[in-house]
Amino acid sequence: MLPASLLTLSAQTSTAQTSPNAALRDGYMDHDGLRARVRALAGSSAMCTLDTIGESREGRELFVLTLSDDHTQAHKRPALLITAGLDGRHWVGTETAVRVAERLLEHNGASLSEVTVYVIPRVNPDGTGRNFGPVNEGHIGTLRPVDLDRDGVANEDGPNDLNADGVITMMRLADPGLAHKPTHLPDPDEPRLMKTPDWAKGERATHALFIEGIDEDGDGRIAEDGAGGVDLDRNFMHLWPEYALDAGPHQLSEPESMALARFVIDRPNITMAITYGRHDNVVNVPDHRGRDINRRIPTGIDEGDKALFDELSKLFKETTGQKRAPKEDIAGSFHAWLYAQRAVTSVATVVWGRPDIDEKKPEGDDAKADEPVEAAPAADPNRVAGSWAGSIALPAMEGMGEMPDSLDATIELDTEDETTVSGSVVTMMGELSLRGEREPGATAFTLVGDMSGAPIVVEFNIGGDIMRAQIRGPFPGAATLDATRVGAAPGAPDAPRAARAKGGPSDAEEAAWLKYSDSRGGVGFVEWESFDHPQLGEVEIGGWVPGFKMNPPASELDDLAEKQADFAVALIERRPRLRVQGPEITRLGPGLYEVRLAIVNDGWLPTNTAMGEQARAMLPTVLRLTTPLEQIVSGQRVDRAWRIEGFGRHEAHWMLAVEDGAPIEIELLDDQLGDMLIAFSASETTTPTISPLPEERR
Amino acid sequence: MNRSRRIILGALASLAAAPLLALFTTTDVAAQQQLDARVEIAWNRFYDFHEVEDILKRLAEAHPELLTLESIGKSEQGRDMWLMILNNPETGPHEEKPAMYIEGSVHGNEIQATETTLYSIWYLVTAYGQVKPLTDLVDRVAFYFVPVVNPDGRAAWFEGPATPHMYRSGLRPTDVDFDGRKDEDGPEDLTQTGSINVMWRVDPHGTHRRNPRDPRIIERVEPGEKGDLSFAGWEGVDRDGDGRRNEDPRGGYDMNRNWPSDWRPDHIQRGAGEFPFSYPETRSIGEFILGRPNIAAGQSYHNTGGMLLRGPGAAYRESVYPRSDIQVYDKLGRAGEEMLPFYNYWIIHADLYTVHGGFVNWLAEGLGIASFTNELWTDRRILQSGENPSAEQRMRWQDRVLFGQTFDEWQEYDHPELGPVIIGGGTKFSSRIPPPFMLEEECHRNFAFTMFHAMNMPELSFGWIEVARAAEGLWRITLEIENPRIIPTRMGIAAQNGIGLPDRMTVEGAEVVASGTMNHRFDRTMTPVPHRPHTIFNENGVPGEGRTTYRFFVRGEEGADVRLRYIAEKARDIEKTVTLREGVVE
Repeated sequence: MLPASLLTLSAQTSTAQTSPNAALRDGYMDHDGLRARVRALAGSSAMCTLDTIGESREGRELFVLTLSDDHTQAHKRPALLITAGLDGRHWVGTETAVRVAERLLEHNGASLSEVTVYVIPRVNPDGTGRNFGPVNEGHIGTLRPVDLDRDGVANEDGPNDLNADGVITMMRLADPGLAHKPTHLPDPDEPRLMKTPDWAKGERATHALFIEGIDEDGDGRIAEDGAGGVDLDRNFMHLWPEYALDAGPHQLSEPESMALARFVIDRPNITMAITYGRHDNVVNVPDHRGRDINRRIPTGIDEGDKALFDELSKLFKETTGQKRAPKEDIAGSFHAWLYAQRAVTSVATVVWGRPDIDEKKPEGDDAKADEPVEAAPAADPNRVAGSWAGSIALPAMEGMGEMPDSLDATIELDTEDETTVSGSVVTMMGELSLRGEREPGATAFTLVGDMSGAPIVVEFNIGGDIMRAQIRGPFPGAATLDATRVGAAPGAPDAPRAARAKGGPSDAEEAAWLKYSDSRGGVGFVEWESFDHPQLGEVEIGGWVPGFKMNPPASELDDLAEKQADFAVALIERRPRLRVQGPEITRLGPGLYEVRLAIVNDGWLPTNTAMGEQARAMLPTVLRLTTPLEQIVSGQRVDRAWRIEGFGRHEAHWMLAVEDGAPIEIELLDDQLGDMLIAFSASETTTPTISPLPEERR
Repeated sequence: MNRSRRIILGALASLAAAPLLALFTTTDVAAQQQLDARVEIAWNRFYDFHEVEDILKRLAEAHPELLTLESIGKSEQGRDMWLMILNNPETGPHEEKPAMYIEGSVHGNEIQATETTLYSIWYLVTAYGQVKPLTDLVDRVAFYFVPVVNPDGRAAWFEGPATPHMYRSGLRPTDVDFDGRKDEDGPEDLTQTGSINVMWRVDPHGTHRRNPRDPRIIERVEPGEKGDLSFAGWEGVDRDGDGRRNEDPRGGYDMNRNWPSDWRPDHIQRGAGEFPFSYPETRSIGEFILGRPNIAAGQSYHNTGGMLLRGPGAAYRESVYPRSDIQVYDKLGRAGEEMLPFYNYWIIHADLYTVHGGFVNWLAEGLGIASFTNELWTDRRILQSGENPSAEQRMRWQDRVLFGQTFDEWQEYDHPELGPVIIGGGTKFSSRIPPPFMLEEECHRNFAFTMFHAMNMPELSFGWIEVARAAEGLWRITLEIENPRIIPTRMGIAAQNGIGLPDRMTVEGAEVVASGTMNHRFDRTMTPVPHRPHTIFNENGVPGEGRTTYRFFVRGEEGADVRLRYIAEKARDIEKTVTLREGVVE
């Protein structure tokens, strides 16, 4: 249990109990609270040491806890890496990481004699700290100054907490006149939620939407250039989104991401990882068929790892009971880098998903929207069909103050016939309808949508074609979206997002969250209230409290962490374990011996993922025979096993021309599982000895 | 004919030696293309890393008015990463001018890339004040030179035996063969000739034999015939006893695959490293370039093959290049083909091979900098006919023109693993690099192309400006901004992807009530700027060999002055004061 003094400390860091922000943050640790807690933890157990992997841009410590019963051996043992707090809004991750460390020390000390656990509870203390300040603005990334509106001045027009409630929400302006274009209307079925109009239903836009704030730089836009920042979970190497401002000027551009990458690269013993953050790959198993634009890198998981992830998913759901998780673009994310380029069995979880409120509905039904949608069969490259989704990043939009500086959105396109495409760009603010026709014989469409926008570049798949498109502006009114084909996607494209539920509020997911917020006394949603805006006149301020959809009530943290600790323990128990079987020596004749040896994996997990085997980023399991080459009649002097399946084995076989009784040694190298020296002699009755490989023979 | 008698006052003050001064202030000799140099450097030889450092220091000391030498970092083994800034501070700080970044020898074995870079520095500072086009160029723009991107690889190539192809990598020890050991089995100079040569194994079922007319030439036998030699790789033994030779030499990566744009991990792009900028050499250059948005042109010298290469490095990146950018590259590249006989203007992925994470790809695609990689030297220059020489022609060239200096005679050698072999063939100087007597021409022609490239960095001026009275106290100013150079202030790739900052046209000193952009001066209407009309943001910049047109409506008394400014990251900002009075401003 947590010492009472620390609980008090956490409570003290919260602001006044009346603000929606305080209600949401209550019981969560700020940076000082985290420091006190990890120090206390390190002080409480000899099996836990506290270090830092580096500093944030503003000089805050990036803590790492190392759990091991022998800290001189910790880096030589197979390790599980637990990482959290890359996203400034994901406070539950940090809370869970620390609690899991506490529980592992308390209940699972025995396993720490064989396995090392590294826990990095908060990679982004600066961005998190910003949300723990006087105003929670839902800051995601680091605090690198970024000139988001590209006017030559950075950070000059951030959001403003106009109604002084401690959170940045939205502003809606009814009948905006000619200065601003109406884009939304209150959802007829849930007037607190805003939606874009459906012409077919006779709906008409009545409101303009803005982020809470004023236009401080006089460019007609509101809150378009706030505290900047680089999203750490878009700053890693795997599928890095090159031109997105929030992905950083280059990969690992941030001190935080660089420190984390260095930590991983310097510790090849890390074989498993769990990342608590906004990504998930265990409630919804990633697609195993998608490939990147170069056709060579999986956008989800490699086909050879499908069974592994299916089983991990089963194990995760059984252990944690979690059934719902959002789907996020993994481009540039940390956990995907671990998987795709570091050969790590990498699990990502949001820790907590939206709870069910409607008791009458069977749970399974409701969860359907989040289950992976059946991926379409391999596309015929000559046909444009289906409803495909991809991810796009929207930069700040000219003339619409309400757009966040960058966000992920999906573009959904439906083919009506061979020549006509219609679809929509769906953002958190609503959706933009698109319609276009293909010229005879062309694979490119020009889609015309109704939007006011600066240039937006999107890449997406249509019927297996990879399309690159640009929405051109800036000019209010109709913008054109020119799509050109840049290549064919091999196999099936990404699984499309679930179609929006029809009937009821236009966005069922948003409506369900609102219902959940209501059940908690409205903690997650600021009710619309009138405000006299100095520039816009009469507006209403209200909307989601940043972080609400990611973070449970603090009272649930212990319980969630218990389940996550169970999963971590389950993963540790299923780790790959190497054992030497043999050697078996057969004397073929005077001075000629046959040696058979197997390296057996007694663990459930493979020694390497199929992706890691392809990527060859890590040292394989190496068997080095010390017998000189000229005495090896057959077999490799250096033998490599790139991957040994769970409960599988790797067999080695040599014929050696050595004197009877000659000593034979095999140096076994494995960065993750430890090095061994296998010594025996050329004799059918030899008794092999297995000992740790001396450092100088590495 | 260049007869200008330019006297540089700043340079005068810093010079003490009178005879030097006399040479410097006259241009009579320049008319004969005989430039008098303050630093004499032989351009018919190659320089090892220490000599390169010495040349850089001598140049910087002799030309303090133009050159600044600084170290921007250390290599893996601790050698300095030298950066030479060439700028005339009398015409402004280098950060305010369009700049060209020029580098060489990211691959340590591609040695003449360094001499070409050094020659460029030397020629520019020597020609300054003597040759008008280059004097004008130096007064207008700045240059950043990194003559040796891979100091360790260059040092190793000069210091010890090498092939013409090795020390491409930097020298961070790397476990290339995944056996847990780093750099444990590289090639060796078994015959002590100073070069790593090739080995041919004596083999009764050989695939090759000696050419009967010239037994030094080893040629493949016709199908059905029997040879007596088989290729056995580069000179060396199996030092780690794993049954393979030379499989884990020093280093083992490629710093020209270690850049952010389209970077791919090692299994897709061999040599890529663990992440972009993961080597100290690439990191120091990356940080330098990221801090210099004024860099408008780039050149990375390599060898070999006689190519002027542009991106993209991969087919699927073709769509990243807008048509307007391709036109810019075509104009520059075709001019280069004319200036560099037997060189081809080519596209990396289409004409050479696919490159992910290449340096010029980062410059062009990541930063919007018009960039080339010149692959220096081509064997087509041996016969000066554009044809590649045959093996026999090549041997005669090396006998008669090079007097046998690039060939090591075949020696019989008893190899511990292969038995009898012959070792010999070309020295490390035998291919990829020009013979010393042709080096200067190679340097000069490539320098000339790169200066053509530099001269075409954007240069802005105010064109036609008209002031008209719109109403009492309200004036309409219409103006053109011109760029006579080939490269626009914003490459299309930058405009499309939001790289860097858009250009800005501003009016100060009067209240601007409305403004907008026009297609041309006769345009009846304008596209208005909705907010802050005193600043017009121009994402597309001013095109090459073209102009853009703007209109402002300002309030003011007749005779009042307003200040027009045009701001661009990759061009010199320009300013002009205009009086509110009807008429066309001269």
